Amino acid sequence: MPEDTEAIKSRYPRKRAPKASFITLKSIPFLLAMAIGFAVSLRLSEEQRNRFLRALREAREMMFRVFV
Amino acid sequence: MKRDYDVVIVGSGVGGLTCACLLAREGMKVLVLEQCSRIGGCCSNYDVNGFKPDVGAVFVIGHNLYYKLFELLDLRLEDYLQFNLIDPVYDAILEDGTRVLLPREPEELKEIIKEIAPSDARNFDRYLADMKTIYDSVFSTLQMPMPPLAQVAKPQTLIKLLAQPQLIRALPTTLKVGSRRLDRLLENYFEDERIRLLFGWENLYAALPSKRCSGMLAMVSYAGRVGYYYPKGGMIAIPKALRKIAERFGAEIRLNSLVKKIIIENRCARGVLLENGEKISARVVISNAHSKTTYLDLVGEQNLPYHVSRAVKKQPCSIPAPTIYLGLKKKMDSVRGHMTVILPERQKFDNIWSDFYDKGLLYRADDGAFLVSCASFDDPDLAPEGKQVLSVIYIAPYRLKYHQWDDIALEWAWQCAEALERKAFPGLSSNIEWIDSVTPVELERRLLIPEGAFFGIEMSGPNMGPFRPSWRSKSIDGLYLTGQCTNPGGGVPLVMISGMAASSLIVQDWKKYA
Repeated sequence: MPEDTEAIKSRYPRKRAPKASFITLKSIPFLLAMAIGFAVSLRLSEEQRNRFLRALREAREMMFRVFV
Repeated sequence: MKRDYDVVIVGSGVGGLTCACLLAREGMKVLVLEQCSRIGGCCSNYDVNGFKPDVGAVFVIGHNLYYKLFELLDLRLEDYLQFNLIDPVYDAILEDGTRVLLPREPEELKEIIKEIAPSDARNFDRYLADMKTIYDSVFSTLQMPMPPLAQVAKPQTLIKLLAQPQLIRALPTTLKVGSRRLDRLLENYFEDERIRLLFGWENLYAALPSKRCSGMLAMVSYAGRVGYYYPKGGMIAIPKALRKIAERFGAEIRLNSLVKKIIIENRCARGVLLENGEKISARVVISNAHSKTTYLDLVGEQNLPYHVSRAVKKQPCSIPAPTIYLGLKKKMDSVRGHMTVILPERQKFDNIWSDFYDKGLLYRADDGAFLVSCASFDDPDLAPEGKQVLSVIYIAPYRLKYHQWDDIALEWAWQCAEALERKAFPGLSSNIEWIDSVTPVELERRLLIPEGAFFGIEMSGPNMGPFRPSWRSKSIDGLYLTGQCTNPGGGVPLVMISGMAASSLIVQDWKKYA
């Protein structure tokens, strides 16, 4: 005879569910931007992609140049 | 504390000498140290058996700017320098055999355009109108009287300059031109590839491919319509004039004095150490050397914060300007102007960058682009009597993938001479009395410019304005920079402006050092 559902439930007390994900609301725009950036980069030609990466590298270096 | 000098200047280029003139006039005790036996740096000349070709700069753009320096010095330019107008501006030779003398006068030039591509004659008017609007607005600022030296580099002076009504009125055109790439801009004006090439190769003066430079570079081409000039006595006449003025105000100039180190104590510049071991103390040190040489060799990485040495190391150098010098046994009729430009077709010209330069390869000499300057064309004194001297400037990378420059320098020079003979100057090879091949590596050796980069740091957007090394060092107190590595960039008049700005900052800061 099948066990009573309530009895099973009582044997396994309900626990609070763990936090669903380490992704917080704050990081969503950043992750979205990454996803869009990745999707766009797939549509770029090799030359455009190189130019894009070059621009990114330049932007990183420009931060240091202002101190010279 | 007693110092040997108020100001020590490393390098006697135009920037260094401008500072020497202005600061000596302010009553400071100034010493200029030059590693070569000749002054001028990249604006100088050689003298080999009476052949006197220019070292780097081969003509003067925006000669009006020179008057502003003389205004600051309270002197008359005409008493020191004589500028001769270059007309025709270029003798242009294209790959399809088209050879035209490009005159200065727009109306005459329009007739020539009509012959090559009739449909572009109308477009030329549009091009001319836009360029004139920008040029006039920029040069209207020169009508403003020069403020006292201490005010020159103050933000309010810049604001006053930018607030000129003519400059504001020209803003839409300036934005239209400046926001586009040079190649796109010219596509917008001209339909014929040859005309686009004739108006679009001068990006070489900014040492950048047309795909990477702003449409504002089209102004260089327009400046030719207003007038390119050549000083009597060659380009070295400019540093010679500045030297005369500096010495008149009491500055001292020492040749053959190589600076080994800038003496730094507690992140303050205290003087310089020469190669012969002599120490010279000074309140302020100005470096007219390349910013990489200044920071990494003269100051030393150990005296710099990490982020500064990293930025200096990674900042890209401009392209070198390797040159072949030719002394000719007799004058050639085929040299028809002060400057001859030999260009391959547009696609090949653009490919020089992507297919060769970026990959460290040399193209066939027949596919190259050459700017040939004949210093003795306007001034026969720059070559022995009856003879002629040519400087052939070309594009080539500093690092070659498969060769060493020293191994191939002469062979390459002869290949270029033969290509020039086929394309422009029949009988050239047999007329050569003296040949000197100054490759990028040789240029680095002779002038101590890293990578032979004539324009210093690359003149692209991410290396201009606040991203270019400052006139007043941000990491070393008492150290100032001038020259092509600082703002506004390479080119003789621009370097002169950097000299004015550095001097102005020193005068502003002087209380701190006195």
